[in-house]
This record gives sequence, structure tokens and C-alpha cells, in this order.
Amino acid sequence: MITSLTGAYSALGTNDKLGALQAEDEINKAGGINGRKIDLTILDDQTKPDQAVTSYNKLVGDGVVAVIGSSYSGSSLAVIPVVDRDKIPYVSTAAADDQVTPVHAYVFMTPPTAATVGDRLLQYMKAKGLTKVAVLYNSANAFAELGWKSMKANAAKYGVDFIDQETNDFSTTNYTPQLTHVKASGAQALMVWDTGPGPVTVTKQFKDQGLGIPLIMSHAEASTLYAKPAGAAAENVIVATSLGVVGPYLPSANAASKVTAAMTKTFQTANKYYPPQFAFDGYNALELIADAIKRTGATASQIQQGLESSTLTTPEGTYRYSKTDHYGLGLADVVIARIKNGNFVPTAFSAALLKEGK
Amino acid sequence: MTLFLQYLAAGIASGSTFALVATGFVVIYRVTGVINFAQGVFAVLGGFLAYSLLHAGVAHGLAEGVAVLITAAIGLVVGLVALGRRGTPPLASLIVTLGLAIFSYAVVITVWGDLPISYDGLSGLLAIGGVSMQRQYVLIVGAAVVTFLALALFFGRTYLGMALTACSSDQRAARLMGIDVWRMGLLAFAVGGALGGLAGVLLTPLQPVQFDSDVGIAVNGFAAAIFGGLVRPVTAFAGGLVLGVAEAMVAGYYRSSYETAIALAVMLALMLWQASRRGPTEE
Amino acid sequence: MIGPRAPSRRALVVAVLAAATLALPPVLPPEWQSLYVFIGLYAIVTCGLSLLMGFAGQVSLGQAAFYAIGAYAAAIPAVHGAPPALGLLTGPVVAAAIAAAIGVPLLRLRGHYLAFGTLAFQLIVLTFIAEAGDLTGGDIGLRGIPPLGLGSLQAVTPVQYAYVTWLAVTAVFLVTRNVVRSRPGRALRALATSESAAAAAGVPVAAYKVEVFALSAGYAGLAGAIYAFFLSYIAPGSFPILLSIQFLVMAAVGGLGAVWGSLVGAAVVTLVVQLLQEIGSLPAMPTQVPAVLSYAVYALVLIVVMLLLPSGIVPALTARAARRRRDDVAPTEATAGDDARASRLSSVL
Repeated sequence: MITSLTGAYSALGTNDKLGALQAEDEINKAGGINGRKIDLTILDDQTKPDQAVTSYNKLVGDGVVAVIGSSYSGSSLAVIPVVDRDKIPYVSTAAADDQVTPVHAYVFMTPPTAATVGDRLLQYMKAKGLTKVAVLYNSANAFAELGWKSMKANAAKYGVDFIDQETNDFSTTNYTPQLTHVKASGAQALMVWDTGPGPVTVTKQFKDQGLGIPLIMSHAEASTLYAKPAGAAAENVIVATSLGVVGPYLPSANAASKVTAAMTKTFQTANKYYPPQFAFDGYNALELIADAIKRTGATASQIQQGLESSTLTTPEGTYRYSKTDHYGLGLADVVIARIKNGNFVPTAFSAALLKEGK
Repeated sequence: MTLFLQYLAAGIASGSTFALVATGFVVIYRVTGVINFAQGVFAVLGGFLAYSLLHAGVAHGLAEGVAVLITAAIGLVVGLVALGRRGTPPLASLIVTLGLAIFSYAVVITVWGDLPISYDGLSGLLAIGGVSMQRQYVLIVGAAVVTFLALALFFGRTYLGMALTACSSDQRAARLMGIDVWRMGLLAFAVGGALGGLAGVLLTPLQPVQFDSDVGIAVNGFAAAIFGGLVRPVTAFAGGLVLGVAEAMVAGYYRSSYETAIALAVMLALMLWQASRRGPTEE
Repeated sequence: MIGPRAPSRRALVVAVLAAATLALPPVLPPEWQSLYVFIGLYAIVTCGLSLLMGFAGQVSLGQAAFYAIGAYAAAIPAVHGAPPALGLLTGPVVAAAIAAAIGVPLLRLRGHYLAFGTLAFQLIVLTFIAEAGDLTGGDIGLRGIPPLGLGSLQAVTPVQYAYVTWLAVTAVFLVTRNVVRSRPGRALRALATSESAAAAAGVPVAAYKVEVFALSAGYAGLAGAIYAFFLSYIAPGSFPILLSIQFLVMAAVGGLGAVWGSLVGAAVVTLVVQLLQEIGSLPAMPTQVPAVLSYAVYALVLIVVMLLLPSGIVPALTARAARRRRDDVAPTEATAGDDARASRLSSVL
């Protein structure tokens, strides 16, 4: 496993690691896969593409049969060409759609794609009658730009019109000009595509400016990394999440509810906090690989075949990988949540859908 | 017109934050000749300390004040290490401050973890006519103005301030006059630490900080400080405002993605223009 | 600069080093092979920076910008079907040309102003790369860069890249040596000490400064080109300001103005970071230990080295060796020169 233990993404990578370690422990305690134990080696990529390649080379040199990839998209995108060359199954925990579109035979990802999340958000906007929406996206951030692009492409289908498009970059600290534009545009909601400190700053300034319209965040903000520093200003903000993040509110009818409860209980006992998105990603990545090994065998090409025929229910939903689909999660695995007292609670819109299992 | 004034206000607001960070660079460089790469760290530590104190139930104002005092002490420690033995060259000191900045990452992660934090400052807007500014920013603009006035008076009018300045212009002469250059350097680091901490406690309510936020904070502050040649507080203030206003105008009238690049280009152009006026040999 | 009998001994040392360099790649374990490539690349960039700082007295906080420019200038034509080997030419040439062009106005700034100017330049370059998506792939990055090669001869494995890299290191060091020893080189050194004195002595100061700036950018561009082919993926995120600062650290740790300093600096810094990473990712390590350990120890190493050896490792070693020699031989020009240089260099920043 390659993950960011140091550098800007260490808070993400550390949880990826904890999730994967928990999966390793559970699988081995249950007797391993077909009697063989999993041996998980974890290396740091320092949140740097070059270090990711160095670490990858070491793992392959050590003879691993599959690699779990960093949640830093830059690292994953740098490793993918070498994965193509070596033909080693690579399950990424990064969120960039470009890892799996177009399909690379050996590359898979665990988070929902931005395209899926974007569609779910558009459904929500349509249902709420939010047809005139403003967007703010970080044009120096691959994840944000890709997410916004796919959302823009599908907006017309849902009758949503993005009447104001604002940008920011990593060094933006004062959003007054952008928020002034949004106010003037008469938008009914503001959609934000960004990661890291930007969304927190926007949320606080958004509240102070008193725009009085809903603020909607992508799934990059579905963790305490966003909710905690944003504090009271984040109250009532709408955030797209995976099933795991809203685990406590999942109806028992939902297929993922049982595994989610089990996974989160163990994680909370060991680490004293509710697992964030990244922990689920690390956990699922190893579960998916283990499941493939159990069904088709433990060589690199057998694992690849196994992954392409996966149907596995995890705390994030049910993955259905195929030859043409290497992201696996669908619309039913994305929840539109509202922040209440710092917790992610499904909106009425999503609660109804969850009950129906959609 | 209202729109222009709104952007101008936003620019002055963020410019003041840059300027406030710049003060620390200026005080330390002016006295010791060291560019303190750990300047952003004081702001980060100030933010974290205030956060902890607030959570422990200390009142607003007092918590921030105590945090600033502690960062002053931290500044003193940084100075002790960075200045090293007498005669350590500035380049070595610079790398040492960089090392201390990285060391602070380890400290912050150990004490507070690797998650970003923030706390509530003043909330709401101050609106005059159609132009508004977040109250927290109003506070920062005020703090920046007071700080710069105080610094200008301190360096220009007080004996200690003049002694500090003497160290920077001619160390040997200063020593002959009985000024302890090394001790003055430490004092400068302590003041620099306090100024960095002040910037931090005021900024954290606006933008979350985490262990490695120091780089972003320091780059803008450095840009503002360099505008005044790292020694002149008032020009550094102007530098901060130029940077902030240029960014706000680009974001307001063009596209925010270009705000940093264009604002930096504007600063560069102004500096080149200054340099061409000064002639080639003057530092 | 060396005592009369020294060259032969020195030639022997260099020959042994060269032989070891060549013999190493195939016997290294896999992860060390890519590390070996990176050490070489960093040494090339640091050598240029060291030349710029140590000999021309100019500081750059934006050297990674030229590393990036070289990478993109090599990768973009290759992605569009040009022979990849051409990139080894376009990378350094474009980087040097851009440096020469911006150097004319930029080098009117000096000292800290120049440091800021180069830093700002890098941020502007990164914004440009991120925004010029059609050309550069934007912030998502440029993917599918073909492997380096001419015709059927292709470099694919880390070992092959290790040879390409270290060939480049050798070329860069030879060029640097010649530059340092040439007449302009001596003039340059005068530049580091006092620009006005050099100007008074008839040195075309402005032109020389731009030339060194362009040369150092060319080095960075060459390293960037190899980097692009080696990773086959580049993005603005691969060239952060921190990388520029890391180059500065390598130059300072190794010792400015010493060709070997760049090699030692690059190797020491890279190896320390790698070692800490290995320890940090041992299975038994609790959650936050990797981060704390690698930051704390890296920082301490940096602080201790710079406090004990303020002018860097290599100058400190040569000074010690020279002192020992002085016991039987009269002080050589070399030691006197080195000491003087070390003290002069301290005024660079």
C-alpha cells in the first residue's frame, strides 16, 4: 500500500492506513484467504508523485501481488503508467475520475467518481427546485476541475442552469469578490468544488456575508477535516457523502448498513473516533483485493480478473466492477447530507431514497 | 463604483493580513540580517495556542493575548538556535530557520494532531454605504495600522529602537557603542515571534490552519516585506496593500485563478521600476 | 587551485568514483534504483544553483520553475509524436532561453529582491501551466509521456534511466568545471565578492550574470526533461515551491560554489529523507509516528549540520584536509582560496 503519511495529505493518508490495517487484521483473524494470511506493506509517498513511484518500485521489487494507491491523485496518476507496464492490480483511494476513464486494465478506484456525485447533486437541485445555481471551483485542483466539468456537462439534463461561475486557487484567502458576484447573480444556491482549507474559508465568509441561500459542497468535504474547523458556520451546509459517512443513519433495509455498523464499531473502539471517508477507502480497497483473491486466485492477472467481476457490499456501498466499469459505485451509494451539530445527517431527499434502496 | 469600492475594501482587508505577517520579517531582518523562514510558523502556533486556550474556557481577548506572549517566547528560542554561535553566516541561519519550521510540524502534529483547526472570531459585516467588510477583517486592518504606527515610532523615536537599527546598519559600530548585537538579535526574534503570533490569532478565525499552513502564510508576508526591502515597515505595509488590492481587482474584474500570478507580476514590475530608478549598484 | 602533486591523486579518486557510479545501478535493490536517478537529477539542479549562488552571488528561490519548464518543454513535443530524445535538447534549451529572456530585467534585482523575483516567477509559471490546459494538460497533468529513446533504443527501466541521468551529471560537472576555470569563471567569482569591483575591472557584469542564470536554468531544464521521461507523468503539483527550497537546502548543506558540494548535498538530503521514510513505515509504528519522526529528525539534521558546518559539508571537509596537508607543505593557494570563498559566500544571503 502506498499512502501519504507525511506532507499535505497526511491526515487523509493516515486514515487510509488505519482502514487498511483494520481490514488486514479482520481478514487474518478470520483465518486469512483460503488459509493464507495477507501481508500488508505500507509505504509513504510524502504527498509527492515522484516518491509514489519510488515507493511503488520498492513494493513491486518486494514481490507484492497487488497495490493499494494513495488518496493523493497526483501520486496515483504518476503511478498508473508504471502499473500499465508492470500489470499489477492497483486499487486507488484517490477521487480523480481520470484514473478509470478511459479504463486501464489494472487500475481500479474506491471513492465514488465525481461524475456520479455530480449527478446525485443535480438530482437534489432539481428536486429542490434550485434551477439557477452559482458555482465556485478551484481551477488549480485536478479533482475540483474534473468534478465541475462533468457536472457542467450534465446540468442541462436536470434543468439546472449555472448562471455564475467563480474560480479560486490554493492561495485564495478572501472570497469577497466571488461572493459579491454570486450575490449579484441572483443564484438560488452556491455549489463549491474544492478540497483542503478553501471550502472552510468560503463557508465562514459565506455565513458572514449573509447570502441566505443554500451552500452545497462536494464529497471532498464529507469529513471532520471540513466540518470541524468550519464549526458553527457549517451548520446546515449540504454535503455529498458516501454511505459510510452517514452510517449511523442508514436504514437497516440498506444493504450496506450491517457491514458499515460492524466496520465503524471496530474502528471507533480502536481509534476513538468515527471513521472518516478515507478510512473506508483504505478498508474497502483491501477487502476488494481479498475478495478477488478468494474467488479467482492470488497471481496479479488472477486478481485483475477477480476485481473485474467483483460484486462486494462494503461500508461505502456495493461495488460492481466490470470490464468497462473500474469505479464500481453508483448513484445509490451517494448520499446528500446536511450538517447538523457537526454531524452529517441525510437530507429528507436522501432519507427517502435510502429507504427505497436507491 | 460601489463594486469597485467593494473590491478595494476586500483588497485592503487581505492586504492588511499580508502586511501584518510582513512586520515580523521586517523586524527580524532589520536587526539580524536573517530572513526568518519560520515566520509563518509563529502564526500557525499562535492560532493553535489560541484555539487550545479558547477551548479550555479562557475568554476571547485574553486567550489571544496569552497566545501572542507564548509565541514571543517561542520567537526567542528560534532566535537562540538560528543565530547560533557568533559569526554564523546568514545563509546558514536561514537554513536553520527552515529546519525549525519543519521541526514545528512535528511539534504541532504531536500536540494537536494533523487536522486543520479554526475558531470563531468577530462575526458579521460592517457595512458603510453599499460597501461591506467582515468584522474580523476590520479588526485586522485596525491591528495592522496600529502595529505599523507603533513600529515606526519604536524604530524612529525610542532609544532601544534606534539601538536595534544600529545593529543592522553597522554591527561593529554598534558594538563599539556598547550595544550587545547578539542580545538585540534575540530581542528582535522575540518581537518577530509576537508579531507572527498576532497575525496568527487574528487570521485563524478567517482561514483554517494546519501544521503546514506556514508556507502559504509566509509567502504572502514575504512578498509584502520584500517590497520595503525587508527593512522599511511602512513600505512593507504598502507592499501588502498593493498585493491585496491587485488580487481583489483581478478576482473582481477578471478571474480569481490568476489573482496570485497577476498580483505578483504587478509587484515585480513595481520593484523593477524602483530598481531602474535607483541605478544598478545600490543595494 | 590545487597543489602541484594533487591532480594525479585527484584523477584517481575521480576515476574510482566514476567506476563505482557506473557499476552501482544494476546491483541496487529496486527502490534504490529510482532513488539513484533522483539523486542524480537533484545534483544537476543543485549544481546549477550552486554555480549561480556561489560564483555569481545570485539567489534563486524558484529553481524548480526551470525544472518544470524543462520537463514540459521535453514532454509536450514527445507527446505529440516528436522523437523523445529531442526532449533532452528542448528541455534545457527552452529553460535556458526563458531564463535569459527574463534574466535581463529580473537580474536588475539583487539579493533578497532577486530571491523574491524568482519565487514569484515560479508561482507565475505554475499558474500558467495549470491554466494552459490545452497545451500542458492543466492541473490534471500531462500523461502518457513516451519513454526516452531514439528509434528502437528505449530507456524504460530505472537502471537505464540511472545511466542516462548519471551521464548527464558527468556532462554537467565537466561543463561546470570548465566554466569555473575559464577566464569568465574567474570574473564570475569576482562578481560574487563585489559587483562594483568586478565592473571596475572591466567585467561585463550584467551579461555574465544573465549567462550564468541561463546556464543554471539549462541544468535544471535538463534534469526536468529526464524527470518527465522517467515518470511519464508531470503536473504542476510535481513542482511546488517546497522543491525550490529543497534545492536551496541541498546547495547549502553540500556547500556553495563546490561542484562536489551539489552531489554531496543532493545525496545526503535525499538519503536522510528516504531513510526516515523507511523507518517511519515500519509495521509497528503507531499512526502519527511517521510524520513526527520524519519532520523532527530531518529538521534536526538540517539544523545541526548548518550550525556545525555553516559553509556546508564539502567546504568543511576540504578545509580540514587542507589543514592536515599544511603540516608538511606550505599553505597552498587552494586552502587560502577556499577559506576566503567560504567567508565571501556567507554574504550571498
